[in-house]
Amino acid sequence: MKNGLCLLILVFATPSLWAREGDSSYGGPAQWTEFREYVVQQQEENERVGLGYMISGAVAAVGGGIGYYQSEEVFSRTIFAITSNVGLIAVGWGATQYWTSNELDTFFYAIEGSSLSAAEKNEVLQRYLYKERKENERRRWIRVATHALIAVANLYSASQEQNSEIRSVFYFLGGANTLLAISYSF
Amino acid sequence: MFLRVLILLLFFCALAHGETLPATLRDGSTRFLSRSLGSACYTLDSVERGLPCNPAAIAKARRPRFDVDLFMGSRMEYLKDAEEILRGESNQEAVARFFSNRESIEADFSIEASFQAATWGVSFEPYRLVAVSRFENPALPMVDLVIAEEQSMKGQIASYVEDNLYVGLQVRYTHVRFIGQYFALSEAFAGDSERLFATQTQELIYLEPGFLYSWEEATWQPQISGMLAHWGVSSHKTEQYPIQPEVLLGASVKPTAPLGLLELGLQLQVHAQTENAREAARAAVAYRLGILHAVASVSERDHAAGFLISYKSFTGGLSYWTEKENRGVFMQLGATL
Repeated sequence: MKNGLCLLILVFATPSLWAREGDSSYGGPAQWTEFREYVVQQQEENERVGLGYMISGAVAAVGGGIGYYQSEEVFSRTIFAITSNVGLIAVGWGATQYWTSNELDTFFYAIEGSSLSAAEKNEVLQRYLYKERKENERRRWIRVATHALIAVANLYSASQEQNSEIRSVFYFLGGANTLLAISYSF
Repeated sequence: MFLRVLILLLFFCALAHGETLPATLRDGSTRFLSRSLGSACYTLDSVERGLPCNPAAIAKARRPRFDVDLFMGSRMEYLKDAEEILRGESNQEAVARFFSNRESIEADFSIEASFQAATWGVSFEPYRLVAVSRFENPALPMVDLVIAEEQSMKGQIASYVEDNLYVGLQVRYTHVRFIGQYFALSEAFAGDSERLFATQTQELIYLEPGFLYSWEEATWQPQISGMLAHWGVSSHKTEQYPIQPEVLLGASVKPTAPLGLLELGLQLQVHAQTENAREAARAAVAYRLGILHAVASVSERDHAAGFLISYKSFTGGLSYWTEKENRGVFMQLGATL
């Protein structure tokens, strides 16, 4: 049981927890009209998601607080305390999504309101998307390399470890990171 | 004299009788799902933890994901003592403490990692500890006990076939080391614990096919599902881990909600011991909004309610489960990469 807890802490501590949500998901052509449509849709989606986070966060914060004082078991109290805190964080995150813009919105705002012609907007968009896709690709390969390195380090540690329980933890982490490296490589 | 004869009779009964681990605990589904939704997790697919219960659902996966889940019951002291008994490391004091709680208990601890891509998935559960004890006859307490340590692996493969039909197959391997006994409580303190707590090992391989027919274009996205679960082979026959195939048939809808995703489902779980439809039926509801996933399910035997909070890569939650003579609180912690 102790190993299970250690394993989870190790997985939580793994550097792979970088979020994927920062990646641009616009995969369309470098045409300003289509890009505008996409950004407007994304803004609506962000508002919807933001509202969902604010409501569910508030429910979690209040429910977690009530649950914490109502429950007697240490596990329940711990989870309720986490729930309450995560709820408050989610309210903040939801508000950010709802009321503030991201990098893509800022770029859209800057170009949309400019005096550039349609052809010039398309050209700027093309350069922006080219740069962004290149950086996403680079980020992906850094992830692959990081997980591959962690996998190799853990598999090596497993091969040297005498204690069978610790060895299985290393094998587990090695296998998990191998899978992650493979998944990021596609 | 009569009492001695009775104890002797009970002793011989103990050789022939042992508790069958409940189907929920022999189930191959991710622990939080099977504990909160029960058999309904074979149809409901809006709550995602680990591999889906029904392998056909993996063909609906939109992006690869890697989940690590830690699932544990609130009775950790009980489980710790159970682990010591199973490993033969317990002393009389630990045995006394373990049996001092004269109530039915189901406790569970599990760590699982799973990876899924579109059409396939694998999962590894390197450690799982299950302890189930039931007390009968308060005047001369009899104990029905199962303590098991499992290691499991499973693989799922699925495909879209035609007209909204998805089919899938789950292959599951479980290695289990367990104690399964029915005995008089006095025997546990009589010093013959080596015989009483002798462990057995068993290897099980299950082949579990399933299907989903999903009208994804319809407003409420209705779907029907079917699965043949617990169908496989075992290294030898035991009462605790029998090969007892089950047919699972279910239906679910996702009614339009102003915010979030609501899913309602009904499941029928039929096996050789099922006597009527009411006993086989289970209803479930799941609602997801932002960070919150709330689930509840009810059947004639038991009911459960739980929630998950998912923020970025982290997930945590609780599941409350109750049956006639038993109840439990289970905690879930997880990471999704």
